[in-house]
Amino acid sequence: MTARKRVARDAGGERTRYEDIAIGEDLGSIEWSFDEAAIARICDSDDDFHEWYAVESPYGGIIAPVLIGYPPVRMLFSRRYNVRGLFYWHEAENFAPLKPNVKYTIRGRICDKWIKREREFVQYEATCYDPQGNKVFHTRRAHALDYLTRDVPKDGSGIDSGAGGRLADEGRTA
Amino acid sequence: MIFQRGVNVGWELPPVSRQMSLRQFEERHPLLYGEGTWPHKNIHSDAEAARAEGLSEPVGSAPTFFALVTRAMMTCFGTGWVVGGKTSLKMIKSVYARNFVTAKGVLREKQREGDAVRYVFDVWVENELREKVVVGTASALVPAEVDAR
Repeated sequence: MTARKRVARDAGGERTRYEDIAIGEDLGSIEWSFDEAAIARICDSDDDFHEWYAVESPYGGIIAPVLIGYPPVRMLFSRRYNVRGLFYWHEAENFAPLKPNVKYTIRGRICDKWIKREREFVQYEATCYDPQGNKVFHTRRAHALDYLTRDVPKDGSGIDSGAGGRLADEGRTA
Repeated sequence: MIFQRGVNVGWELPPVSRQMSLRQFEERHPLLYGEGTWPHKNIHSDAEAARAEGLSEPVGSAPTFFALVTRAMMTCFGTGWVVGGKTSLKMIKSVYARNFVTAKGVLREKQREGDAVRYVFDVWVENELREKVVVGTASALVPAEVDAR
Protein backbone atom coordinates (compact mmCIF):
# COMPACT_ATOMS: atom_id res chain seq x y z
CA MET A 1 0.00 0.00 0.00
CA THR A 2 1.41 3.39 -0.97
CA ALA A 3 1.71 6.15 1.59
CA ARG A 4 -1.03 8.77 1.46
CA LYS A 5 -0.06 12.11 0.00
CA ARG A 6 -1.89 15.32 -0.60
CA VAL A 7 -1.70 16.45 -4.20
CA ALA A 8 0.95 19.08 -4.84
CA ARG A 9 0.78 19.25 -8.64
CA ASP A 10 -1.54 18.25 -11.47
CA ALA A 11 -2.23 18.91 -15.13
CA GLY A 12 -2.81 22.56 -14.31
CA GLY A 13 0.57 22.97 -12.62
CA GLU A 14 1.42 23.40 -8.94
CA ARG A 15 -1.53 23.34 -6.58
CA THR A 16 -1.99 26.52 -4.63
CA ARG A 17 -0.77 26.22 -1.06
CA TYR A 18 -2.68 27.61 1.89
CA GLU A 19 0.19 30.00 2.68
CA ASP A 20 -0.04 31.50 -0.81
CA ILE A 21 -3.67 32.59 -0.50
CA ALA A 22 -4.00 36.25 0.40
CA ILE A 23 -7.14 37.41 2.20
CA GLY A 24 -8.52 40.45 0.43
CA GLU A 25 -6.90 39.63 -2.88
CA ASP A 26 -8.88 40.87 -5.85
CA LEU A 27 -9.88 38.05 -8.20
CA GLY A 28 -10.60 40.55 -10.93
CA SER A 29 -13.65 40.36 -13.15
CA ILE A 30 -14.98 38.35 -16.04
CA GLU A 31 -17.66 39.02 -18.59
CA TRP A 32 -20.20 36.24 -18.70
CA SER A 33 -23.25 35.40 -20.74
CA PHE A 34 -25.17 32.25 -21.52
CA ASP A 35 -27.73 31.22 -24.09
CA GLU A 36 -30.97 29.22 -24.02
CA ALA A 37 -29.03 26.03 -24.76
CA ALA A 38 -26.94 26.56 -21.62
CA ILE A 39 -30.14 26.87 -19.57
CA ALA A 40 -31.36 23.59 -21.03
CA ARG A 41 -28.04 21.93 -20.15
CA ILE A 42 -28.06 22.95 -16.50
CA CYS A 43 -31.73 22.01 -16.15
CA ASP A 44 -30.88 18.59 -17.57
CA SER A 45 -27.80 18.10 -15.39
CA ASP A 46 -29.49 19.27 -12.19
CA ASP A 47 -32.85 17.63 -12.96
CA ASP A 48 -34.31 21.08 -12.37
CA PHE A 49 -37.25 21.90 -14.59
CA HIS A 50 -39.67 24.80 -14.45
CA GLU A 51 -41.89 26.49 -17.02
CA TRP A 52 -40.00 29.76 -16.60
CA TYR A 53 -36.75 28.03 -17.61
CA ALA A 54 -38.21 26.56 -20.79
CA VAL A 55 -41.32 28.34 -22.03
CA GLU A 56 -41.93 31.84 -20.66
CA SER A 57 -41.50 33.78 -17.43
CA PRO A 58 -43.08 36.96 -16.01
CA TYR A 59 -39.78 38.71 -16.77
CA GLY A 60 -40.11 38.52 -20.56
CA GLY A 61 -38.67 35.38 -22.10
CA ILE A 62 -37.16 32.50 -20.22
CA ILE A 63 -34.82 32.80 -17.24
CA ALA A 64 -32.13 30.51 -15.81
CA PRO A 65 -31.95 28.58 -12.54
CA VAL A 66 -29.90 30.57 -10.04
CA LEU A 67 -27.20 27.90 -9.90
CA ILE A 68 -26.20 28.65 -13.48
CA GLY A 69 -24.08 31.26 -11.71
CA TYR A 70 -21.97 28.58 -10.04
CA PRO A 71 -19.52 27.77 -12.88
CA PRO A 72 -18.45 31.32 -13.86
CA VAL A 73 -17.62 32.23 -10.26
CA ARG A 74 -15.67 28.99 -9.89
CA MET A 75 -13.77 29.90 -13.08
CA LEU A 76 -13.02 33.36 -11.69
CA PHE A 77 -11.43 31.65 -8.70
CA SER A 78 -9.72 28.96 -10.85
CA ARG A 79 -8.14 31.61 -13.02
CA ARG A 80 -6.08 32.79 -10.06
CA TYR A 81 -5.69 29.70 -7.85
CA ASN A 82 -5.26 26.02 -8.62
CA VAL A 83 -7.41 24.66 -5.80
CA ARG A 84 -9.12 21.33 -6.48
CA GLY A 85 -10.27 20.35 -3.00
CA LEU A 86 -13.91 19.97 -2.11
CA PHE A 87 -16.63 22.59 -2.38
CA TYR A 88 -17.91 22.96 1.16
CA TRP A 89 -20.21 25.94 1.69
CA HIS A 90 -22.33 28.13 -0.53
CA GLU A 91 -24.21 31.29 0.31
CA ALA A 92 -26.16 33.26 -2.26
CA GLU A 93 -28.64 36.10 -2.59
CA ASN A 94 -30.73 36.64 -5.71
CA PHE A 95 -31.45 40.23 -6.67
CA ALA A 96 -32.77 39.86 -10.21
CA PRO A 97 -33.63 37.16 -12.75
CA LEU A 98 -30.79 35.71 -14.83
CA LYS A 99 -31.64 36.13 -18.51
CA PRO A 100 -30.00 34.58 -21.57
CA ASN A 101 -27.87 36.59 -23.98
CA VAL A 102 -27.12 39.39 -21.51
CA LYS A 103 -23.52 40.47 -20.96
CA TYR A 104 -23.02 40.20 -17.21
CA THR A 105 -19.91 41.18 -15.29
CA ILE A 106 -18.76 39.19 -12.25
CA ARG A 107 -16.22 40.56 -9.79
CA GLY A 108 -14.71 38.64 -6.90
CA ARG A 109 -12.21 38.65 -4.04
CA ILE A 110 -10.75 36.33 -1.46
CA CYS A 111 -12.51 37.11 1.79
CA ASP A 112 -11.18 34.59 4.31
CA LYS A 113 -9.14 31.48 4.97
CA TRP A 114 -8.95 29.26 8.03
CA ILE A 115 -7.90 25.89 9.39
CA LYS A 116 -10.46 23.69 11.08
CA ARG A 117 -10.11 20.06 12.12
CA GLU A 118 -6.76 19.94 10.34
CA ARG A 119 -8.22 20.98 7.01
CA GLU A 120 -7.42 24.18 5.15
CA PHE A 121 -10.28 26.31 3.85
CA VAL A 122 -10.50 29.31 1.54
CA GLN A 123 -13.53 31.56 1.17
CA TYR A 124 -14.21 33.89 -1.73
CA GLU A 125 -17.09 36.11 -2.73
CA ALA A 126 -18.37 37.45 -6.01
CA THR A 127 -21.06 39.80 -7.25
CA CYS A 128 -22.72 39.63 -10.65
CA TYR A 129 -23.85 42.87 -12.31
CA ASP A 130 -26.05 43.49 -15.34
CA PRO A 131 -24.95 45.91 -18.11
CA GLN A 132 -26.57 48.81 -16.20
CA GLY A 133 -24.50 48.04 -13.12
CA ASN A 134 -27.36 46.58 -11.09
CA LYS A 135 -26.63 43.63 -8.80
CA VAL A 136 -28.00 40.34 -10.09
CA PHE A 137 -26.61 37.98 -7.46
CA HIS A 138 -24.04 37.88 -4.72
CA THR A 139 -22.36 34.71 -3.53
CA ARG A 140 -19.82 33.57 -0.94
CA ARG A 141 -18.26 30.13 -1.12
CA ALA A 142 -15.76 28.04 0.79
CA HIS A 143 -13.56 25.21 -0.45
CA ALA A 144 -11.45 22.77 1.52
CA LEU A 145 -8.07 22.79 -0.20
CA ASP A 146 -7.69 19.03 0.27
CA TYR A 147 -9.89 16.18 1.37
CA LEU A 148 -6.91 14.78 3.27
CA THR A 149 -5.87 16.55 6.46
CA ARG A 150 -2.84 18.86 6.58
CA ASP A 151 -0.71 16.42 8.54
CA VAL A 152 -0.52 14.32 5.34
CA PRO A 153 2.51 15.36 3.26
CA LYS A 154 1.64 17.51 0.25
CA ASP A 155 3.94 16.15 -2.43
CA GLY A 156 1.81 13.85 -4.55
CA SER A 157 0.66 14.16 -8.16
CA GLY A 158 -3.01 14.44 -9.07
CA ILE A 159 -5.13 13.74 -12.11
CA ASP A 160 -7.96 16.20 -11.57
CA SER A 161 -7.14 19.91 -11.42
CA GLY A 162 -8.53 22.98 -9.74
CA ALA A 163 -7.48 24.85 -12.84
CA GLY A 164 -10.73 23.82 -14.51
CA GLY A 165 -11.98 26.52 -16.78
CA ARG A 166 -8.55 27.56 -18.03
CA LEU A 167 -6.98 24.26 -19.07
CA ALA A 168 -8.38 24.45 -22.59
CA ASP A 169 -6.94 27.94 -23.05
CA GLU A 170 -3.53 26.69 -21.99
CA GLY A 171 -3.61 23.45 -23.98
CA ARG A 172 -3.19 21.34 -20.86
CA THR A 173 -6.46 19.49 -20.76
CA ALA A 174 -5.99 16.12 -19.11
CA MET B 1 -45.83 31.17 -6.13
CA ILE B 2 -48.02 28.41 -4.81
CA PHE B 3 -49.26 30.34 -1.80
CA GLN B 4 -52.81 31.75 -1.80
CA ARG B 5 -52.44 32.61 1.87
CA GLY B 6 -49.85 32.44 4.62
CA VAL B 7 -48.67 29.22 6.21
CA ASN B 8 -47.47 28.69 9.76
CA VAL B 9 -44.05 27.93 11.19
CA GLY B 10 -43.54 24.20 10.86
CA TRP B 11 -44.90 24.04 7.32
CA GLU B 12 -42.83 21.65 5.22
CA LEU B 13 -41.42 22.23 1.77
CA PRO B 14 -42.45 19.59 -0.76
CA PRO B 15 -39.58 17.07 -0.87
CA VAL B 16 -37.50 16.85 -4.05
CA SER B 17 -35.72 13.56 -4.75
CA ARG B 18 -33.33 12.13 -7.29
CA GLN B 19 -31.38 8.97 -7.90
CA MET B 20 -27.74 9.82 -8.52
CA SER B 21 -25.65 8.03 -11.14
CA LEU B 22 -22.08 7.91 -12.36
CA ARG B 23 -23.38 9.08 -15.73
CA GLN B 24 -24.66 12.30 -14.13
CA PHE B 25 -21.32 12.75 -12.36
CA GLU B 26 -19.43 12.24 -15.64
CA GLU B 27 -21.58 14.50 -17.76
CA ARG B 28 -21.97 17.46 -15.43
CA HIS B 29 -18.67 19.26 -15.94
CA PRO B 30 -18.57 19.00 -19.77
CA LEU B 31 -22.22 20.13 -19.87
CA LEU B 32 -21.73 23.14 -17.63
CA TYR B 33 -18.14 24.21 -18.28
CA GLY B 34 -17.78 23.03 -21.87
CA GLU B 35 -15.79 20.16 -23.34
CA GLY B 36 -12.11 20.27 -22.46
CA THR B 37 -12.27 23.03 -19.88
CA TRP B 38 -12.10 20.59 -16.96
CA PRO B 39 -10.06 17.37 -16.83
CA HIS B 40 -12.11 14.52 -18.27
CA LYS B 41 -10.84 12.35 -15.42
CA ASN B 42 -11.85 14.19 -12.27
CA ILE B 43 -12.97 13.38 -8.71
CA HIS B 44 -16.58 13.23 -9.85
CA SER B 45 -16.08 10.90 -12.78
CA ASP B 46 -13.01 8.75 -12.25
CA ALA B 47 -12.03 6.33 -9.49
CA GLU B 48 -8.30 6.86 -9.95
CA ALA B 49 -8.61 10.65 -9.84
CA ALA B 50 -10.75 10.40 -6.71
CA ARG B 51 -8.29 8.05 -5.00
CA ALA B 52 -5.42 10.41 -5.76
CA GLU B 53 -7.22 12.99 -3.60
CA GLY B 54 -7.81 10.52 -0.78
CA LEU B 55 -11.43 9.78 -1.65
CA SER B 56 -12.67 6.20 -1.71
CA GLU B 57 -14.59 6.66 -4.96
CA PRO B 58 -16.01 9.44 -7.19
CA VAL B 59 -18.24 11.92 -5.38
CA GLY B 60 -21.07 14.09 -6.62
CA SER B 61 -20.59 17.79 -7.26
CA ALA B 62 -22.10 19.82 -4.38
CA PRO B 63 -24.16 22.22 -6.56
CA THR B 64 -26.06 19.18 -7.86
CA PHE B 65 -27.49 18.66 -4.37
CA PHE B 66 -27.95 22.36 -3.65
CA ALA B 67 -30.09 22.40 -6.79
CA LEU B 68 -32.63 20.11 -5.13
CA VAL B 69 -33.17 22.81 -2.50
CA THR B 70 -33.35 25.66 -5.01
CA ARG B 71 -35.83 23.65 -7.09
CA ALA B 72 -38.15 23.37 -4.10
CA MET B 73 -37.83 27.09 -3.40
CA MET B 74 -38.49 28.00 -7.04
CA THR B 75 -41.53 25.74 -7.18
CA CYS B 76 -43.03 27.23 -4.03
CA PHE B 77 -42.12 30.91 -4.31
CA GLY B 78 -41.50 31.83 -7.97
CA THR B 79 -40.94 35.59 -8.10
CA GLY B 80 -40.29 35.70 -4.34
CA TRP B 81 -37.37 33.36 -4.96
CA VAL B 82 -36.01 34.83 -8.19
CA VAL B 83 -35.86 38.31 -6.60
CA GLY B 84 -35.01 38.13 -2.92
CA GLY B 85 -34.22 34.45 -2.47
CA LYS B 86 -31.31 33.53 -0.20
CA THR B 87 -29.48 30.31 0.61
CA SER B 88 -26.72 29.21 2.94
CA LEU B 89 -25.85 25.56 2.33
CA LYS B 90 -23.09 23.37 3.68
CA MET B 91 -22.00 20.01 2.24
CA ILE B 92 -21.32 17.80 5.27
CA LYS B 93 -21.14 14.31 3.77
CA SER B 94 -20.13 12.93 0.41
CA VAL B 95 -22.73 11.68 -2.06
CA TYR B 96 -21.85 8.72 -4.27
CA ALA B 97 -23.30 7.53 -7.55
CA ARG B 98 -25.37 4.85 -5.80
CA ASN B 99 -27.14 7.28 -3.47
CA PHE B 100 -30.77 8.37 -3.60
CA VAL B 101 -31.08 11.88 -2.20
CA THR B 102 -34.02 13.99 -1.05
CA ALA B 103 -34.19 17.69 -0.22
CA LYS B 104 -36.50 18.67 2.64
CA GLY B 105 -37.27 21.82 4.57
CA VAL B 106 -39.31 23.18 7.47
CA LEU B 107 -40.46 26.79 7.92
CA ARG B 108 -38.50 28.07 10.92
CA GLU B 109 -39.57 31.72 11.09
CA LYS B 110 -41.17 34.60 9.25
CA GLN B 111 -39.54 38.02 9.10
CA ARG B 112 -41.24 41.22 7.93
CA GLU B 113 -39.28 43.00 5.17
CA GLY B 114 -41.10 46.12 3.94
CA ASP B 115 -44.16 45.02 1.96
CA ALA B 116 -43.15 41.37 2.11
CA VAL B 117 -42.57 38.60 4.60
CA ARG B 118 -39.44 36.49 4.40
CA TYR B 119 -40.12 32.80 4.92
CA VAL B 120 -36.97 31.26 6.40
CA PHE B 121 -36.58 27.49 6.15
CA ASP B 122 -34.22 25.05 7.77
CA VAL B 123 -33.32 22.87 4.80
CA TRP B 124 -31.33 19.73 4.30
CA VAL B 125 -30.63 16.99 1.78
CA GLU B 126 -30.53 13.43 3.05
CA ASN B 127 -29.51 10.14 1.49
CA GLU B 128 -31.53 6.92 1.46
CA LEU B 129 -30.21 6.09 4.95
CA ARG B 130 -31.67 9.39 6.26
CA GLU B 131 -28.14 10.70 6.74
CA LYS B 132 -27.91 14.42 6.12
CA VAL B 133 -25.48 15.32 3.34
CA VAL B 134 -26.36 19.02 3.02
CA VAL B 135 -27.63 21.33 5.79
CA GLY B 136 -28.47 25.02 5.84
CA THR B 137 -31.15 27.62 5.35
CA ALA B 138 -33.14 28.95 2.43
CA SER B 139 -35.56 31.86 2.33
CA ALA B 140 -37.85 33.69 -0.06
CA LEU B 141 -40.37 36.52 -0.02
CA VAL B 142 -44.15 36.36 0.16
CA PRO B 143 -46.25 39.53 -0.30
CA ALA B 144 -47.44 40.71 3.13
CA GLU B 145 -51.08 40.76 2.03
CA VAL B 146 -50.84 37.11 0.99
CA ASP B 147 -49.17 36.14 4.26
CA ALA B 148 -51.90 37.95 6.23
CA ARG B 149 -54.78 35.95 4.67
